Amino acid sequence: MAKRVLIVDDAVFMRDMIKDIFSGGDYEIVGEAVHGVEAVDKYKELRPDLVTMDIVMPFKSGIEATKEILAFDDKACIVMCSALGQESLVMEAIEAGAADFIVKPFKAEDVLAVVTKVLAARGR
Amino acid sequence: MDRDKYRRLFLDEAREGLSQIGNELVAVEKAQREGVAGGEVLRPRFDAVFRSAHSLKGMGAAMGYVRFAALAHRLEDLADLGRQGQSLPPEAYDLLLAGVDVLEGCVARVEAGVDDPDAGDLADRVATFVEGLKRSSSPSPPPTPSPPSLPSPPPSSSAAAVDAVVLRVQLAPDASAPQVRAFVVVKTLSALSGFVDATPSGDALRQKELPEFSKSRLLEVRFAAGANVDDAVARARGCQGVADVRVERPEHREKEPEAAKAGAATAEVDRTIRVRTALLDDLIDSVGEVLLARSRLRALSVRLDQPELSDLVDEVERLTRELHGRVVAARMTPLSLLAERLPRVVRDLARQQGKSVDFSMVGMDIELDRAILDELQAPLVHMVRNAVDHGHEGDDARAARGVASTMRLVLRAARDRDRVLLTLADDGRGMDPAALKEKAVKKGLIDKARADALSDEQALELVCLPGFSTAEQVSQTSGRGVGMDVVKSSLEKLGGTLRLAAAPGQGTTITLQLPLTVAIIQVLVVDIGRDAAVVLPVARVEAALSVEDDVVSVAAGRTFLRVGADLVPLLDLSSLLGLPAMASAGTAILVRGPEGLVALRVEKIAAQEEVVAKPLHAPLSAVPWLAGAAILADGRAAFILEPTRLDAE
Repeated sequence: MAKRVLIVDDAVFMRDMIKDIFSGGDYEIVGEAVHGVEAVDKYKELRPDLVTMDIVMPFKSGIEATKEILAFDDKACIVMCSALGQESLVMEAIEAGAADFIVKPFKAEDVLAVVTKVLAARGR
Repeated sequence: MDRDKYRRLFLDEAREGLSQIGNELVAVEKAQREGVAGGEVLRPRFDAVFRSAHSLKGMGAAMGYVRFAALAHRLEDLADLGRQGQSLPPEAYDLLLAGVDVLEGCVARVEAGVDDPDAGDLADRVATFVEGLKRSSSPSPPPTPSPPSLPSPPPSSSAAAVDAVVLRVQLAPDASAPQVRAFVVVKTLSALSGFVDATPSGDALRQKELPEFSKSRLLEVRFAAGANVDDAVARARGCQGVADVRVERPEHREKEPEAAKAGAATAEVDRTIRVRTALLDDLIDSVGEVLLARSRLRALSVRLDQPELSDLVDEVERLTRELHGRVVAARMTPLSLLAERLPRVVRDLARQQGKSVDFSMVGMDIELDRAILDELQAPLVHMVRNAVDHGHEGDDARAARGVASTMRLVLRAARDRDRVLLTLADDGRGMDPAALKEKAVKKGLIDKARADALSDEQALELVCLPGFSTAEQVSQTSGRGVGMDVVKSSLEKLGGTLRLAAAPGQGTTITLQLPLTVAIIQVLVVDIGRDAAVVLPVARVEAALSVEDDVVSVAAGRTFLRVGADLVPLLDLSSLLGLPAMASAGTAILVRGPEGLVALRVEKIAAQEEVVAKPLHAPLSAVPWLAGAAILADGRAAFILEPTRLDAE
């Protein structure tokens, strides 16, 4: 069964790019959120298998959203989408329970490799 | 014995060791200036100097370079005193650093083919100095309460860790953000039972940049003897970016003789050889050819329709992609390689001129194409020397101006999309635009009317004119004008830019914007119909938008795309290139053209990838908005567009 994915990013460009990467058939994009508040709401509503989470977003950062989602569901599988230079933020998110991270600019094969691994590690 | 092979190893390791000694000594001096030079700070640094000198001595002796070994031996003696807690006078540092210089000279002569190069009389001078220090310190006991005579055991051999099983986790050389990758590994493994600790620890990985680790990318994780190591290995292997996991059990480690440790430690860290950049250029060209051949093979296999053949083509495809990645990675070199000599440059000049400078560097693990690093070396050295020479007017003069007598100088590197920003900032006396204008006019570089018309920012650029110097007299060290002229032109040759910001009394900041690579650029591949693709450098792309009818408007015969509150000219990329119209064109790429933003309509974004930019030859080279051509990962050939030269008409 296709894995259900929630994409969180405030930039259309990045969301489209991530959608394209997941377009192979193994994944189904069940929702998109453009800021942290929406991310938490959509997570509760959709309960996806995987969340790709941007870090710098309006209203609520990806870090805070990650913490809230994990407080709601400690089995949530969240992959942080970071840029170079955000290393300490990423580590904060991972300390809080995010599964892994990917670095922009994304390469499809890297993203899929990370996602496959974290889902496998969680038995999904 | 393959002498030539050992000679090469000697050259690499000796250089590494010497540069480490230099860095440690500069750090010790800095700690002393800052008054934080307690035993616990200095001790590990002197240990490192001692170990390096010790290894140099051994290597030199093994190669038969007796004079080299003799000097290294004396430096080792001197470092040993520091290690034992004896406070060393400033001359000791000068001697140690002079020793490094002499040994570096020897290494250069070995490289040039000299056997057993001469090391001058420095060894004797150091020996005399050491004798003097020893006499003056005895019979009174050494200043620190109880200096242990042996190096204290490293934390990894603490009681708990003696029986530990060590997992050596090697991250792949091309894994991005290695510290974060390592942090994920530590986090994953620390959740398992029997986990003892990791080097570097999770906290260390989080709290600071670890240049050594960024180089070695080697993580050591210890587990208690009874732990389920197989599970730990499997988990580590399951982490992204992990290239290799090796298990080391206690019985293997104990056999390691203590004396060999210093040598063994360096052997495990990156063993490197020097490769000519031209060879790497050839290599990447060859990979390009292989990619081309591969796509022809692919086409053939489709035509023949043979499953075995097509499996083989898949395999070849995977391998070439891997090869391509490795060649790209092989060209990338951390800035630290070039920056590590800068503290020494600053220290020497500051000491020579009697000035206090606090120099620090941030972000030196960022990697650049080595062709750029090679070109950057001279300009960077020049810039830091300039800052000390001209930015710092002297400790007393600074104090009289009401600022700290120590000038702060920071070199900072940061990634910005596919560029690197390198900033050198000082809090020195800055530059006065009015004085610069006056000077330029007096020198006859520009006329008065033009000088008056310059903005302050433009006036600063005057220092980049050939033949300009702001110093009263061009000092031996660095004539700022002369140097900046060269700095600027070297940068432009690399496709970079230089920006200056300064005001009187407000310090000077020089910002260099550099491409990550010369040959390899990040591009967005866009389809423009009929299997044709063009690529746009990611650095030139502002955004990508989907084009719906309601955001397109036509005015005065031209089409516009509504972006927020603005109307941006919308151009059809295929017709711009004189190609047949696209069947669908649902995406627009926003780029910055010569007259502001332009939206380029394309069929779709196909991929984002790294390509090897190949220059165009006549007649195509005459087309201003074509920056080159590239073979894409899927084997197609595509032009690289330079949007800033697109003629919107």
